[in-house]
Amino acid sequence: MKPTKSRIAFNIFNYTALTLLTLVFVVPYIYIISASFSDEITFVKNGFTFLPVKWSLEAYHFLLTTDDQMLRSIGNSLILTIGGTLVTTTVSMLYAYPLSKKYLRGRKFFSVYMIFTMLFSGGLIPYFLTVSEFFDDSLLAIIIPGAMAPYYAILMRNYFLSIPSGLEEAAKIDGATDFQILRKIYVPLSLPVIVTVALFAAVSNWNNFVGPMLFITSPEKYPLQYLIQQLLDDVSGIYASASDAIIPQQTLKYASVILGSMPMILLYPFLQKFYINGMVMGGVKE
Amino acid sequence: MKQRPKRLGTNRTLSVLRNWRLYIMFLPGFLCLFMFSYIPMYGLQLAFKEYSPRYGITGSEWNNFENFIYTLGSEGFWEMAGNTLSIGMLKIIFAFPSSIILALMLNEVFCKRFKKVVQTIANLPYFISWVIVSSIVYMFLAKDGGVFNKIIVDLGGEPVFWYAEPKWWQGIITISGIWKNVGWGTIVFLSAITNINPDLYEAAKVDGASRLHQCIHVTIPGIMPAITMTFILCVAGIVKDDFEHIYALVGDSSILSETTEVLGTWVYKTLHGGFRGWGDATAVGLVQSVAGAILMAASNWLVKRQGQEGLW
Repeated sequence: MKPTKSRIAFNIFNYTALTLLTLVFVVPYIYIISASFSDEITFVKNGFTFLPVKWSLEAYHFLLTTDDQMLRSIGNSLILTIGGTLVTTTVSMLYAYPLSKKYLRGRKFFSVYMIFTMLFSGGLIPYFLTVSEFFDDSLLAIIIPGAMAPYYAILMRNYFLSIPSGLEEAAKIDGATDFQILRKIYVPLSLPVIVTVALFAAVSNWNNFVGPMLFITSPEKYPLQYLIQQLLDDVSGIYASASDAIIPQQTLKYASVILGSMPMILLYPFLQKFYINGMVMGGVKE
Repeated sequence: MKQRPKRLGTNRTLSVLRNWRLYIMFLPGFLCLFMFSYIPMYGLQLAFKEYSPRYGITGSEWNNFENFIYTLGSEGFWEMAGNTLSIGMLKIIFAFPSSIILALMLNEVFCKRFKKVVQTIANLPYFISWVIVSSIVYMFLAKDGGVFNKIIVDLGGEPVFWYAEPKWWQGIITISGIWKNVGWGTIVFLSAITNINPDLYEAAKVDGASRLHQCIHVTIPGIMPAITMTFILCVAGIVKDDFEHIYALVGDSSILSETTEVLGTWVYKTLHGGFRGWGDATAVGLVQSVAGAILMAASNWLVKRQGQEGLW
């Protein structure tokens, strides 16, 4: 069948629109990169430009050498991301595994118990009061309450359900315990979904700024995103000890934004296969 | 018939005992939900109490419906509720269809490579935090040196003080939300499209259907379940404002609060404004939670009545 005229017109429109759209996603980021590599004085004079009017590494140099604040925040973010991801993935997986056992008595109760928390919550004030009773100014206040993630548990349960139960039965005849079966049979077979969940968790931990905003008070414990939020708001509050004259007030904001977003942007193209699989797996129902 | 290896477990207690390890696995998650989801739900009683730091949530005195009467009777509440609803509606009207449209557009692309590149780039904003997005919004809207004002001035116009004019902000919130999430939202629809039986397209072609007709009569009905699922979640979102998004963009700005103060941001500010408002804020949170659950149930019921598959 030959393409009709309207078909060709549509294709031209479609490709052009999509090309413009990709520019809309990329160009803003280039402006921010450009600001972060700009010389402070010329930046203040010229505003945001596609390429720096005068190149400078001053902002990065300041951030990485003054007060250790930035380095410490990067460290805190790494602790939060790695620790949070390990804990959430493990706890959610342990909950998901018995949920996938259709013969288990009480399975329905544990399922409803979990799903109810997705539909209804106590709201911010009771949550804040509860968590701050256990943790004070500590990253644990973000890691521990987030340890059990119902959405991830559902993803993993669905995947476990697709694994033939014959494997489990055979292992049981050989005398393996449930923990051994999970570790030696289910985990290796479910790596795609486990990796997906771990990545989901890592991204949301890295990008989390509300948690630290609620529970972290001392600046040396700020994770990166929260530090960036504070810097965007008011630079001198964070770098109170440095004299105003040497602080690249504006450009350092954008340098911190680049430091805070680069890891995810660089990692994403490599990880997107897992992500998309994970989303698709979520749609698999019992 | 399969032969069971051992015939234990006809008895209830025995079957529970035999699987004790599986129950142990539930334990960490069970405790975590209990402590950080169910105890806060128990804490909702604060909505009916006057909070006193000395006695804590359980020990504080009941004041019955005073918190509700006070907040629901105040003008501020209705302004915030109005903002929450209108931002939520903007999301349904613009953000919800945007991912479907982008997915349909991507579906019409024949060059696989081009499709992949567009998808990868469109997904990127989903992976950066709202804080980062707020700096991008500022880049466009800064009073001096912001990209929009530079363009406006170059064209001979007067610079707009975006950060001092509330009227723009519901739009800015909607657009920045679409920018961040549109690509990610397409994944569900694109995977639903790949699950459509190719025979249907063949049959449509035999009947002489153009690509447009195929899209309307095959693709869209084929992804209808995915559309309704997203819709249900979206409707519940009307009352559950996206605190993280709005607070990152607007912060504590009181100039913009006329259009951007939503229930979520108000509750957060009350949390820091001292314990006297905590009872009221909990009451507002409860209203919001209940309204969200009702909306979700209602849209689920509606969708089911139309003969579609609902969330439950």
